[in-house]
Amino acid sequence: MSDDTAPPAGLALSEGPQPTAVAVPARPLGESARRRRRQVWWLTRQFPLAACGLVAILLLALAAIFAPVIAPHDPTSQPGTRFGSPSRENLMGTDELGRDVLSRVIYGARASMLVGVTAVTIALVIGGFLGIVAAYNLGYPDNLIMGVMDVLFAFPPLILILAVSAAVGPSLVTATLVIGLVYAPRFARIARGPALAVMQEQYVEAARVVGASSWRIILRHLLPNVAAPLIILTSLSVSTAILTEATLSFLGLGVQPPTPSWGVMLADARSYMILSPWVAIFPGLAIMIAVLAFNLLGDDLRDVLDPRLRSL
Amino acid sequence: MRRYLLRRLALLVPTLLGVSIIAFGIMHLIPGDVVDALIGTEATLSPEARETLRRILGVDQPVYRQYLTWLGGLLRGDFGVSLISRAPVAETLLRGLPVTLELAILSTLIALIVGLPLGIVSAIHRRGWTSAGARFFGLLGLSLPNFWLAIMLLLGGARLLHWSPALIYVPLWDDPRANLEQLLLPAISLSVGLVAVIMRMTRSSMLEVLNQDFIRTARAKGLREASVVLSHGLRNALIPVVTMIGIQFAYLLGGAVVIEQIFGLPGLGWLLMKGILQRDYPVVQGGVLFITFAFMTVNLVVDVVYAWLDPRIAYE
Repeated sequence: MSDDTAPPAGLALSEGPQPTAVAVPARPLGESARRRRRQVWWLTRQFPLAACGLVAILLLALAAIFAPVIAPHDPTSQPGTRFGSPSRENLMGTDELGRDVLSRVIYGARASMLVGVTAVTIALVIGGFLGIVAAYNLGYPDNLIMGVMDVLFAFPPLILILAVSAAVGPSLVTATLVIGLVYAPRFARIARGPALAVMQEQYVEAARVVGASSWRIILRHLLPNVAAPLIILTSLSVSTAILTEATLSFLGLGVQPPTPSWGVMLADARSYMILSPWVAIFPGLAIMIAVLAFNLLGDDLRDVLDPRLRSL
Repeated sequence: MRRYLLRRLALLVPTLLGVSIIAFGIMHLIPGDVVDALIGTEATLSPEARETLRRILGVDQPVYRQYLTWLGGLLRGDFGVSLISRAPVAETLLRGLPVTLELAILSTLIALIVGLPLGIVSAIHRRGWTSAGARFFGLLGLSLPNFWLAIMLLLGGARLLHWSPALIYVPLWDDPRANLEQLLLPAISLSVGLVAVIMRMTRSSMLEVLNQDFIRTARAKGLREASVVLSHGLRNALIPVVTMIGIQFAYLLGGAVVIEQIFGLPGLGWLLMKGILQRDYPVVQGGVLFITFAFMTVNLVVDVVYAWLDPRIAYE
């Protein structure tokens, strides 16, 4: 057993009360950088799958942000050969209009990441806020909020998303808002439980007695205690949100052409895939890698932050 | 227990009411109306004819009155009629139900046959590469878009075997062989995520059980390892797995929209999707209500079965 099974100094993994402020003696800059590197290395060794996921997420984010720089071709221009097989010029071949599949896959990361991350952020903010508020104001507000959340939760999710998208008019923005709305109840539920438990603690009562405002109690006492489950649920939800966006676009109720999106590419590919399989293979692979990346990260995060939440 | 059951049953009513109000609200937000879907794009109607048609269909009334009319019918067991086909909604849904049900049963069976053994094996070999591999493939299964898998299976079948499933649905009673052949690929596509869920659940539950004292006792009294793992370990580990399968099964009833779409299966998801696109309110409302009801009932049954399987669990 080498010493790399024990976490390096300064890295706290366990839950529970943490020392808040520890006087850190001034160190030369080089040493702290080296220590940081050792921490990263230790984490990578300990959680190889999460590390892979994190790297994949970073690569996807880079692809999304720098798509115009990375993509070898314009994703919407039609340079000529239709259904070109993968070649040196078009690594993933060309589609039914002669567009470069690789460039479209790279640009497609934009829609997926944008919708996935924004939608879950919306769900996290709305759901987390409502869950905490419900726990803080027991009685009528709690019953009202959780009742509405339960109804939303019971509604078949995909059907709700499809119906709202059709109602409001399908677009990238609609998809983002709807997915955010549909995912909010699970955040509210996961936030309410621990928040309720904390409300029983004596230090909350003490804070009240001293005259702390509601905001202070919520921010200083409730929020830190619901952070771990919320972080885990966020990571796992981004993966399902990406999957949902792809499904929605595949059915024609999400991102609209000509914006490149993996779901739309797959839907288009269905008619031509027997002749040119590459138009169907690569967008699907991209979806799978993006979803897998967030799942890998979320799975390890859960083990580290809160093993009791295994059922998430 | 009885009070708990009654409370859960009583909760069904407001939830279903809420769901039906949301469904109704959304369906009436959809721009354009059913008349357009009914007459198609070629024909044009004079404004008077359009009004008459709207009055006949009852969509000229204020939304709340339409809702109350619909709710009143529902209380008398009448789901209304489809605005497009004029067929009773209950009848339409009952035609779609067997397709979805069969699909859900088949994929759950496949998932059990594949997922349970994988979960057990990965719990026994829990160290090193087997463990990391099991986790990785479990997560991979969760991440595989089922509609992409469906497309890949169709592609593989067509390119390699020169075979593709019939696109016209054949009911089970008419021709069982053709029906099963047709449902094989959709069931496999739907089952992959479920395999992953069952495998992960079995694995973590088995790991927990195999650490218990009574397992050590079973080993100490010299039982064969297979007997320890299967009849002492698995039997206890299965409880959370059973409940998980119940919830996933209920989820399949409403979640098969895409797969039904791809394979042209006229199930519940397909009916709902068509209803949404054609603004056929009664069909969508009836379908949503039915799926929600099924989902909540299965959840309740699962909770009761859970308490029955594991007497340590008591509900307040």
